[in-house]
Amino acid sequence: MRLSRNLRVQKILSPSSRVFILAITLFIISLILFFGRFELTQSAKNLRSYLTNISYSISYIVSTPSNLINSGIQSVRDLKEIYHQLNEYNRNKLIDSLSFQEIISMKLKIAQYEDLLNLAADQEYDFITSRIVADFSNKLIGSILIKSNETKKIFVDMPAAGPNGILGRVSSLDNNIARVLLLNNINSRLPVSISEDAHQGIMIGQGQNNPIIKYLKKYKKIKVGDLVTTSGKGGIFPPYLVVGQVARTEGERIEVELIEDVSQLTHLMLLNYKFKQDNE
Amino acid sequence: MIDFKISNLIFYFILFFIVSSNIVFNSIYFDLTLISGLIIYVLRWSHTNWIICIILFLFGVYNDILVSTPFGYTSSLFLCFYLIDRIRSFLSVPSNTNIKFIIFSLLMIILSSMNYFTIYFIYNIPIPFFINIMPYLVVVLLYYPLDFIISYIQTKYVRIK
Repeated sequence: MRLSRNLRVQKILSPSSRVFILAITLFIISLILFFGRFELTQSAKNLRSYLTNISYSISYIVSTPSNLINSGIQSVRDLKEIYHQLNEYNRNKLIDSLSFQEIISMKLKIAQYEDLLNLAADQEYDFITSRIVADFSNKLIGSILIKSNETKKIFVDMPAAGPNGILGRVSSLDNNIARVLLLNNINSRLPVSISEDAHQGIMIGQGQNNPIIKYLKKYKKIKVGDLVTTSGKGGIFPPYLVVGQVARTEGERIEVELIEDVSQLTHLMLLNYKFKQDNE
Repeated sequence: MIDFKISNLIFYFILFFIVSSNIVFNSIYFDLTLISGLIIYVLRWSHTNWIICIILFLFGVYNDILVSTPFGYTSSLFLCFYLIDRIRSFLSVPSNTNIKFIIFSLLMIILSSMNYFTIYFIYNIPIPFFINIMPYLVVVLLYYPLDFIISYIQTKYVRIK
């Protein structure tokens, strides 16, 4: 009896068993962190924002070979695109010179009409240009890492936009690295306004799928092709910025095709919206 | 006596490299976290080296910070891949490549189902079946080629006393 107990104790205390127990313990700790939603706590947020810069710097160095291959492929694609565009440009040169005159005269007419109608000029925001350094947009938790020289001017919840429309908002920031939570992120919620009638709803990210709009009162009036813009409610995003277009309607389910494709961008604008409001 | 030290260092670096490459590769079909998990599963780790568990845990945390996945997600995945093999040997299931492949495939099915249902019930988002299954399928397809390469590297560093 005692012998068998001793053998059992020996087995438990053997190096192999100790490693096994350690692995099990770490596994349980990981599960507790995951299911206990540790990432929602303030300390986890601080830890994440503090370590993002370090982990990015390390990964940037370690993944240099992959980075070089990727940028090489990208450069070849860009050169091909430039060559194609040059050909296209040469072909359309003659036509363009004629249409250029038309465009100028039309712009002058539009300016005259706007003047007659007393239309207010589009609101413009101060912005900070930032470079996209890492793209995780194809994941369910879609986000990007951005780098800027003017990090002191960046704040959490700062709206991020591309040349055509809104992209997301800053979710965390470190010394010179900030993370932007994209509109397709499953945690993203954006108050939007749809069509000329300004139907109000909340756009919810769906990962790799198109985002959907919920909490719409008159969803039957929404048509495919309707423009979706920010409503400005909540105070994080400025109003009237283009988000996308309605791509599909299926009863109450309204899908939005985003106007901006993050994978095509190298830089983005961080709008100084909240900053301006606070100072006014 | 098998000396795993050099090969261990190589594989630590490979894992570190793959996890870090997350900032470069952004694909729906290739999940680098799962590929790292496959490497962890295929590797013949030393059963007495406690540092492996700590390193896998830290790599998981590093991946979570980099990709912005919830804390504990990747480390539990990595340690699960490590533990499955330990449990298999503990239960005296033969260490045959085909049996290991079957266990791995079953684990992938369970993980993909868990992923699908978690997102469906918690976030109320139905992911298209193809998009959900594709990264897991790619990893299953990569099993034999990776097993061949890793076995080759590991046997190269076998030292008989």
